[in-house]
Amino acid sequence: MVSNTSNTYGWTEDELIERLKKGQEEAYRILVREYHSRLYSLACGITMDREESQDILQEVFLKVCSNIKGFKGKSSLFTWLRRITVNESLNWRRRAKRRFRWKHQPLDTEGTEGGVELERQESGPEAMYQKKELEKSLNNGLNLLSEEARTIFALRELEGLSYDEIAAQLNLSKGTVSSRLFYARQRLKEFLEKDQGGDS
Amino acid sequence: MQENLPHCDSELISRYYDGELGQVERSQVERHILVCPSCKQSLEDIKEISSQYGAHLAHQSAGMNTQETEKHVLKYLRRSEAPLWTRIKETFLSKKILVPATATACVALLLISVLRTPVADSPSAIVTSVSGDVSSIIILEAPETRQTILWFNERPEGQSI
Repeated sequence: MVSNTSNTYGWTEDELIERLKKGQEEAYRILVREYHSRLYSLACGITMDREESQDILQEVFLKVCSNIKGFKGKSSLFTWLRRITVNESLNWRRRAKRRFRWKHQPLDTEGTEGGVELERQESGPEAMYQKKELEKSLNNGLNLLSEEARTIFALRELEGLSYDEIAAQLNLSKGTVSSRLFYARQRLKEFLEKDQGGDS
Repeated sequence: MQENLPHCDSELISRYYDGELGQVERSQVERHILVCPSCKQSLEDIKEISSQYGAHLAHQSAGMNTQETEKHVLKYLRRSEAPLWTRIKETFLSKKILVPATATACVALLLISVLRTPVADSPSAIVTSVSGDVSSIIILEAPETRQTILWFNERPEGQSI
């Protein structure tokens, strides 16, 4: 059964689901505000593309609109949302229309100007440079991982899912999850070490 | 690995970090880490990667647009709640449908006007004729181009009608 804890807006999950089923706009506003950030990070972790992740999130919430009436509450609302997000993120490459995008924003160390400016003020330029370089190496390493390895890594690191939960979500064996995670960490470590070695 | 473990095993460290080991293995790894700098470093590396990854994605999430998603969802919701006739009307009047439909209609009209073969009406001939004592005028119309032809015929002297 779903948990009955209140969200930040004072409704229990059951109440929220009930209102979503009735098509109340306020409930959808709360749903988006409550879960968008977390799901967006997950989508970014899988696709490594900000613009795609934004589109994916829109698709996820539209699917909720279409299918909420059939939601039985066997898992929590967020577990359901996460499942849809993972499936949509894994399918994004297959959508032919997206291959012809003029403009897309892959994850990188640029682009979030407000945050960068704030950090620039908080730390010195050298620290900023090092941080950016580290992010760049991490980004390069993540891009070279297979989509499956990235998904497993994101589910483990961002969502804290157990190997069993990841295996069930992705229809893999527990052993595969363990070895892919280990492999992902090794690759990322190599990338970070290579970068640090190059700097010295 | 040393101590109770037969050899160093980085994958085991990874599983230890994720809390995926049983009680016995966990204790073995914990004891081992205390005496093996290499495995201790492996664990530190995993922690560092985890921390960097979390910070990296949090940084990227600053670029997301929650309001846009909210607007999109509410628009969809209002449309799906609207009466069937309104939805049909909106669908056909939406730019997605209206613009290509208009463009297709224009192209079709253009093609029809260019490719349409002129239909030959009833064969044109003499529209009218006027005959006088000296000459006669015959007004003709060309069958396909529908051009008007004036045929003036002067009768030679002495020739009667």
